[in-house]
Amino acid sequence: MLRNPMRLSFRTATAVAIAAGVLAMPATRPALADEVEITWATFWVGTNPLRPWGELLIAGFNETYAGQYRVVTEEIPGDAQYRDKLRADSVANALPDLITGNVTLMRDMRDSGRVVELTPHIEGDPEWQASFHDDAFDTYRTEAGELYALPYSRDYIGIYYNTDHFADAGIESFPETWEAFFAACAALREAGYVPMANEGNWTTRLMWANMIGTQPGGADWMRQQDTELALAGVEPVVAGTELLRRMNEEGCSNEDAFTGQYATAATLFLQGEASMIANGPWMIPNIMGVNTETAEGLGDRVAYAASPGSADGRGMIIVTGEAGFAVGSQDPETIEASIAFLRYLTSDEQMLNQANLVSRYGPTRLELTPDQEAALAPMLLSIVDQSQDIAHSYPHTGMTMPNSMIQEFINTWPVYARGQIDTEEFLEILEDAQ
Amino acid sequence: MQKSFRFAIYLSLLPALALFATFLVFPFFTILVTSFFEWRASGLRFIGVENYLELWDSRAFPSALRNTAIWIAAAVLLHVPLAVLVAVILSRRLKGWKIFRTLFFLPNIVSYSALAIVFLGFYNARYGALNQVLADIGLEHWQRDWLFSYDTALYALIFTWLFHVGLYMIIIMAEIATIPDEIYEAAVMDGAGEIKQDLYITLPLLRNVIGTCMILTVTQSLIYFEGIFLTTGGGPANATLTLSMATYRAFENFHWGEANAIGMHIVILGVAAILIIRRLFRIGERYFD
Repeated sequence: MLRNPMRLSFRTATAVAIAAGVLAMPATRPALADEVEITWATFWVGTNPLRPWGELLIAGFNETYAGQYRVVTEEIPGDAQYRDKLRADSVANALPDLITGNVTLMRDMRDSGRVVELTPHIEGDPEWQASFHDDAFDTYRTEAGELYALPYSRDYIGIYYNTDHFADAGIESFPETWEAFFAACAALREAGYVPMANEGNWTTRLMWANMIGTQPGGADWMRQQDTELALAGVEPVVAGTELLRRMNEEGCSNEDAFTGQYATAATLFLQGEASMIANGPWMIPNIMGVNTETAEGLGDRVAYAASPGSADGRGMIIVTGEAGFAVGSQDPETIEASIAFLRYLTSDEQMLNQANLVSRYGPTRLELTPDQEAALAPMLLSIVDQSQDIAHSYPHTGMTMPNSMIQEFINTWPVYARGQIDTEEFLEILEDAQ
Repeated sequence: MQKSFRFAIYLSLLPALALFATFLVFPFFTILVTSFFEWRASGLRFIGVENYLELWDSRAFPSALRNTAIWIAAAVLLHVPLAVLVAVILSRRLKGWKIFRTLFFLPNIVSYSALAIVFLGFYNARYGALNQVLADIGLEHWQRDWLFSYDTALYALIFTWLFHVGLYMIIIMAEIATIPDEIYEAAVMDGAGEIKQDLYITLPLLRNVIGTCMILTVTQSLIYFEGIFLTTGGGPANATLTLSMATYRAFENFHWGEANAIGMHIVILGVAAILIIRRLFRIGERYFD
């Protein structure tokens, strides 16, 4: 009997496809009999910049603790989707063993009362405890002294600027005072550039933090946490907020600076249309063109600077623990395994991996050899170097303000920036949103 | 009726009842009950009507109600009438009517999310097509940040959805096709022109279907979310905040009880709208009843 050649080839193709699928499956294996398996719900997947580090972290942990502990991932792409899922999990008392996210999510986890208090574990290992900076745990320590999450980041956040644009506009160095900043904006605009990329959300709030934090008393105000924030009538807040509005009034910003979407600002800067953008060092890989389309040679034309300030000096956002890990495990075995993971996460090896792959420092006292330092991005080294002699350091609004207040900022900022409401009303609206 | 036959009827109803209970009754009562609780990560705490009182006392909720009302007004006064107008014109089967029918229906096969992204670009203050066109025709003074200016945001957003009439157009055209030709022939013999035929024959006979479209568009307006979420997020200054967007915001802030209190408003308004429209359009009654 003659066989239908089409059917044969279809069968063959199917068999090949299945075989290829099996071979292409990730090298996951079930846990060994004595191995404790823990689950890490993660959004460090897909195009997330933390993905390469996450992959190294998992592979390294599973290899180091082979036969003892094993971490498996539950991948949830998109940090908003991740946050919603984790909130639902916390309400249902079904948290994964390891949870990662920003300070807002970590606070939600704290409020759920369903994450492990980490203090005894840290204090039980003096060597591990001593490896952290003194202020490393401040963000995640409750008033009662309980530690509900472990930070993995220490961010030095400055302002990127395009040196070509500055040269074109005849500006010799990055402005050191706010008045010089506004003069630079005018010169850049005159030269045909968008002086500062904004979107009315993250990058705008970083500038807001700089403008408040560099006022007299501003840094102390910015350091408040877990308190009902008063904004209206508070001198440094009023002065900083009015500076932020001035940035818009004097044409320092792009015309579409109110979308609330980070891409609006980032694209403008990465395409070489805007001269400045406030952002953290994790943007360095994007500026260098890693997985990002940028204006040609942009990486060679960008420098990173501390914020302008008042007469007494410049400022910088320095934040430990903008992002952290919480432990949702419920039984001693998985808690122990999760703590081992956190210890591995904050090891020198992994903190160095983070610095190399994400351009982000960790919360530990990482001593770098000259070779290791030379391998890091010069912009990262430059901003850390500048942090040594700044007059003001402070966190940003993502650390100090509840999510509802940040949402209200995004919502109300456009009408305030356009002068449709006054400063007092704007600040009162934000206060009420708490 | 035999006992076994009655049992078989109940048994056959069981799957439908189970689905109804799972996907409608249970969620409804969950929303209703939890709207009287403070529902956070730490659990539930009964707080009576506090969620409702806080909503009515807030800045955002009255704006959400007002914007939803404007959206519904646009749906009732412009959206469905536009669908009726297009359907009546196309039903005359003028030259090229099939092309226009396809063109009007085309947006219905594109997701709202995709359209929202397109309009985000269309309205963009820096590079948007609308501002470019205005500049090209010498109307630079009309240029603005359409989606993020308080005065224009809601109307710009409603405009993106207003011409989405394809589905209603098709439903109405199908109804027009069922009207017997004899009625029109009699009208022609009485000297009625096309406009009179539409006004005195077609439109009255479309009462039921227009009422149905009204119910659909009003309920859809109450829950419309994607286009707002992907463009303005309810801003600026709540100018585009609707009830569904306010629900999402409350959910995002982990105020689930408050989110469900807003949900109850949507349910109540939806039921009220359905009852009013049914009464106004006497849906279900035949024309000659």
